[in-house]
Amino acid sequence: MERVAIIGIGLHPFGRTPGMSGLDQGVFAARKALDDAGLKWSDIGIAFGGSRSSGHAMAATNQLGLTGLPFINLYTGCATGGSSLFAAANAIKSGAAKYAMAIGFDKHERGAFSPSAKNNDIPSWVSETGLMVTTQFFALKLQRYMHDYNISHDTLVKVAEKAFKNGSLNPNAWRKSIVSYKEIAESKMINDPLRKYMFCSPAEGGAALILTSETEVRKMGVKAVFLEATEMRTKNYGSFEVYDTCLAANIQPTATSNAAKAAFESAGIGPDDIDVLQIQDTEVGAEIMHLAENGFCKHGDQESLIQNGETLISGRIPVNTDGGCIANGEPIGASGLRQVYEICLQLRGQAGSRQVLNSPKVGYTHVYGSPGVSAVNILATS
Amino acid sequence: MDTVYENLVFDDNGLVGSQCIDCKEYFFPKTKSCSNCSSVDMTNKNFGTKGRLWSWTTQNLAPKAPYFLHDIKEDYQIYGVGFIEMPCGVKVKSRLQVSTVKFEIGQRMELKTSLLEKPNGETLPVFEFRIEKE
Repeated sequence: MERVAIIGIGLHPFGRTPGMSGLDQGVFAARKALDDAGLKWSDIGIAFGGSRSSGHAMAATNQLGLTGLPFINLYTGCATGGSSLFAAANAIKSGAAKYAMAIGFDKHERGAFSPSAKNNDIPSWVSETGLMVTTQFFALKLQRYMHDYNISHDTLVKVAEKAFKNGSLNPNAWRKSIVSYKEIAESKMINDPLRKYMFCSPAEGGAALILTSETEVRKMGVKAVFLEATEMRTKNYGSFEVYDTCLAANIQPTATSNAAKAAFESAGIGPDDIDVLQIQDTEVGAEIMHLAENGFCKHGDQESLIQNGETLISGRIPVNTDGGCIANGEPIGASGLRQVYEICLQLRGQAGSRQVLNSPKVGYTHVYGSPGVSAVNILATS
Repeated sequence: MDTVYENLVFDDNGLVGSQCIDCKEYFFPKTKSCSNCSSVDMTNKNFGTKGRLWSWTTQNLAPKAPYFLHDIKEDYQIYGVGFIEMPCGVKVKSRLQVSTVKFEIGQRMELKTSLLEKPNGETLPVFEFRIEKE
């Protein structure tokens, strides 16, 4: 199967941008990506896009140009960006188009998301009795994990501390100020053991990527980042995922573990070969648990890994070098694409003051969304 | 036993879910089909009133609508949320009654039916678990 290459990347800064709609921010990102690739919008043969709160992604064609291209709106919760890329990469593999775009944007209201029970095939009494709050899931999963694998509260704080530190080095991040250990550790309890500064918040932003085939890259004579693998999985029976009203007697590996395993098999490499990674950090516990679910360490080894600073930009496996979801906030449609944008910058050596040293060659991204969706990518310079 | 609301069935004698006749897996609340083996042959199963705390958290902020008490801003009552491992092995998500005793994984828990009440007298029946009284 022909390899897929990323030849254009674009981002609108995440955070709050008064006066610009979510769609405006997506269009901004799309134009940046086109400039980066040296292409025009009319060159794009197929597009996949998503947004939760800013309307149909396809409406971006009003501003980009009504070229008549196939444009597919999709939505898979917080994993929407990952799914757009998965679909666009498969469109290139199939030969459906020479150039494909994955685009995502959003502009959410302040405060936590209020998920709909009805849209998730969950009875309405679950939300009416206060059992369908997304943050509860993170806390319940983490509380059990800390008990089973001896993860300390101190380690939770250190993950948040790193996110804000990395965000302070990223001009496109929302949270660009360092938050001290003390402020994080003493911030308001939201869902025990998770405190205010340990969470990412819904935000605004846009991101776009342009894909083509390896053959086309050679013809064009341009530099590209290659997608060695792109895999997506939904939850399987017995895994512990968001919104579950009961859990099976025998808990099974998550959608994340399954997607990661498939990606490593498909790329023919292992977690030890990855130089820089993006892991869904909806809150600090997610980053900790997803590290092991993606295969980067054994369950429980995160405690020493994080205490020894190995996930810092200067560490052995730098995680969320741009500040991740915690420092960037989460515009759902764009978030998974922001992760790939950052890995492309790192592999191209363009990450500025947060650049991982020694020219990273292989990167990894993982995004997770409700109600149990995971998309992962393995990216390489050659 | 009463159906309290849609597919939610409970009273002081237990919490009722489903068991798949083909693969024997358990589900809560009652469900029309089995997400393990795709069977549509399901039977009711009373999980009883007692179990052990498998995981827990607290809801320190009032959830947004459609939470029944979302508009009660003053005197917000923190409640717990947990998974209770029932004797048959299924883990059921439930509200937890908070008390002076801290939650700990493995604690013995018991079912307690209760009511969420608004100042205007409107009520919503709920099931909750609390740490079992010695």
